[in-house]
Amino acid sequence: MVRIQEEGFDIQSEVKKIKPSDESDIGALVTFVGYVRDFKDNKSDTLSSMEIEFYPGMTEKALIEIEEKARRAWDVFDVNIIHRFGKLNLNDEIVLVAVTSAHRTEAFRACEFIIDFLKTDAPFWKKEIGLKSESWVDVNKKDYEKVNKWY
Amino acid sequence: MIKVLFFAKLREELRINELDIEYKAEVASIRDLISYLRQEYQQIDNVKNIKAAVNQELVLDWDLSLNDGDEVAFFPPITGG
Repeated sequence: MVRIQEEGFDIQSEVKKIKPSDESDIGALVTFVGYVRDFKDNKSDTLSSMEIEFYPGMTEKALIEIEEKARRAWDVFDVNIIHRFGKLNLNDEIVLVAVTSAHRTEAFRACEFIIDFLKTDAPFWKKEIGLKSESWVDVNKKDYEKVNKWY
Repeated sequence: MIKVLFFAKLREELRINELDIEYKAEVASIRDLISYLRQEYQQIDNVKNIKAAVNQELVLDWDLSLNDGDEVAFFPPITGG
């Protein structure tokens, strides 16, 4: 399942949605959570917030397609993907990818695959707002290198 | 009509979210459309590595023909996650 929302999310309750306590075939759950962090390279400014924009319609479709690709490649039970938009503060959760499967290998692989492709194929754009200046985040070449290793 | 959408830095540079353009020979492909838009919005060139989507699918071949009623989006490289 895929969700794009402005409000925050509770990791525990989102995980419960794909690993209910009465579901006994699941042997593994892997979660990835991405957070708003402070500037890494810009020591002269401090990040105060982040704004995330997306393309309503296309972004949902792209996320669904990424989930389907992961399901075709690995034997997973369920997937929960949430990505936030709008104004986020330092330390807020941005994105959740949670995957359940019978065994850890499938869950790890599928989770990493989904977050890697989300970074390059799902239309979201981040703007970092510092105390002194604001700017749109530059594309990270490493994200594309990571995606290429899946081919 | 062709519906054109702009996102993120491109939207800010152009100061416009979307516009409708009459379907005609000058906008027969994505490449034609961006040249056409550049006449009025030279700021397009302030954004590097612009990506395009047609009907909400990423398009790598900018010579792709456009059809009346298409939704075309232009945006900078994706930076989510």
